[in-house]
Amino acid sequence: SCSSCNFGFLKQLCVFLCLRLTTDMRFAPFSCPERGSWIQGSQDKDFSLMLQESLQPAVCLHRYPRSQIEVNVMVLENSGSVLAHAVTCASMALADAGIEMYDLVLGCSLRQDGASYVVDPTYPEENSWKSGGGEKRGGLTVAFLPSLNQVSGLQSDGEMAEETLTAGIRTCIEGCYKLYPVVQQALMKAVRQALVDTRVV
Amino acid sequence: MATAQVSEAEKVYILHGIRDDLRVDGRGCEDYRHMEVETDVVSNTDGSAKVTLGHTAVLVGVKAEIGKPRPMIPDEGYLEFFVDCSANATPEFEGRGGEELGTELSNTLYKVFNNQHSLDLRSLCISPGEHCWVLYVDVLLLQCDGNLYDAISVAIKAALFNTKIPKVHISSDDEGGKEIELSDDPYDCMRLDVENVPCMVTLCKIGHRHVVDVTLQEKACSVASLVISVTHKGVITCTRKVGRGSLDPESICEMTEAGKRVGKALHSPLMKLLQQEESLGKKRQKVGFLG
Repeated sequence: SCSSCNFGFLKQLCVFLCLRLTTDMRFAPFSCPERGSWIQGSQDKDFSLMLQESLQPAVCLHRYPRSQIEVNVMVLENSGSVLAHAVTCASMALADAGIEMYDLVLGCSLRQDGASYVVDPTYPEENSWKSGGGEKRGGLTVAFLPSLNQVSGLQSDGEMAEETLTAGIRTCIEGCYKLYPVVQQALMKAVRQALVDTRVV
Repeated sequence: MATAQVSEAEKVYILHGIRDDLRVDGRGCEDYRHMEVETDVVSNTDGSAKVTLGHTAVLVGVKAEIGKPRPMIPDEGYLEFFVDCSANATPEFEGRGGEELGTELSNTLYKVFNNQHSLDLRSLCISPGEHCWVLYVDVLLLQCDGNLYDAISVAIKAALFNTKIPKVHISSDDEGGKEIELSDDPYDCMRLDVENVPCMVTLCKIGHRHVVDVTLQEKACSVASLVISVTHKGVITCTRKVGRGSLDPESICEMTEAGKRVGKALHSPLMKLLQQEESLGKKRQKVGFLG
């Protein structure tokens, strides 16, 4: 089954074919402002690993013994917060396929710059380093299971004080809670549409 | 990652012990194993260090080469990390087995150093836009018994402290181009200020408590860990959740706070040890690999 997500200018296509959950995340060469290559670089492999770690706690793998679930994400256009949206897209695809899960996994990222922060940063916001910063500059991505209140993925870089980091995590969790009803509605719409299609046929 | 097979009874034993702040080897939840640090172990490098943490052994070599600076940041040098998980460490790393772990470790290292203050990259600039020093930090895992992140970060800090970069002299040659001369004197070199280089702390969630410096056995009882990189001032430069399980937001806050406390406490004994080792100079007895 397949799901595609559009978050502003960020487009992703998530396909997955039916114990083991393997993930593969790739960037199309035209997805970023600078042309990338088709060969997976080490950063792409790292994204795949983080995606796997974020999705694994949510999937009921014990329901699928002796099988492998493969999740492939292809980023068509990268306009920022790519890992967070890949997590959301992949978990929607898993739900669309009917794979049993404990909960949806939603991703949210944040960019801290001095005393202000932006949630769901765009590509320019992610990559601008204002000169002469203090101790509060960095990016943070959180993958969250809202109804279980569990964090399945966390990644941060830059320089932040501990209080800033924990406040950032809380903000990302709130962002995930806001995203939850939107994703649920989209899934229900897809299910209703599928029912209508089968009735027509 | 190398794994140990642990039975259910052993898991329960370890879990109950940790609940009472007593681990299998008698340590408390926030105690490290015996750590040995030795610098200048490989003579062909510009800086090297070997760290042994319990049965985990890591060797880091730093080589400085002259290269072209990055187009976006023409007045700074940069670091390149590569982690090699050799089959010596554990048979699971044979062939391409250790590649995934190596990628995870080296990508985390890039994130740890991806900020303005960890290392003064401007001091690595030779001539802006044309030449700069590139520090190739190569990490070799010799033996794997858990807690790789911590051992690697301590080894990198020690190796960077030990790094001696030769001083350069730029002169213009006859055709108007620039010529770079390296100083011949082995003692005429530049040292790096590693005060702000962070150290990583891995906290594993076992039961309801978090544990620092886990052995492979204890890791088999845990589903998720948090790796935090902390500077001596308590600034967090990188965090990463590792493992197949999930964590409570409250646990994450507790673990971050504990990680910051433990990480901050690592720096001053390490710097003292490095400076002491340096001050012994030629009188130091080298242990090397046979000790």
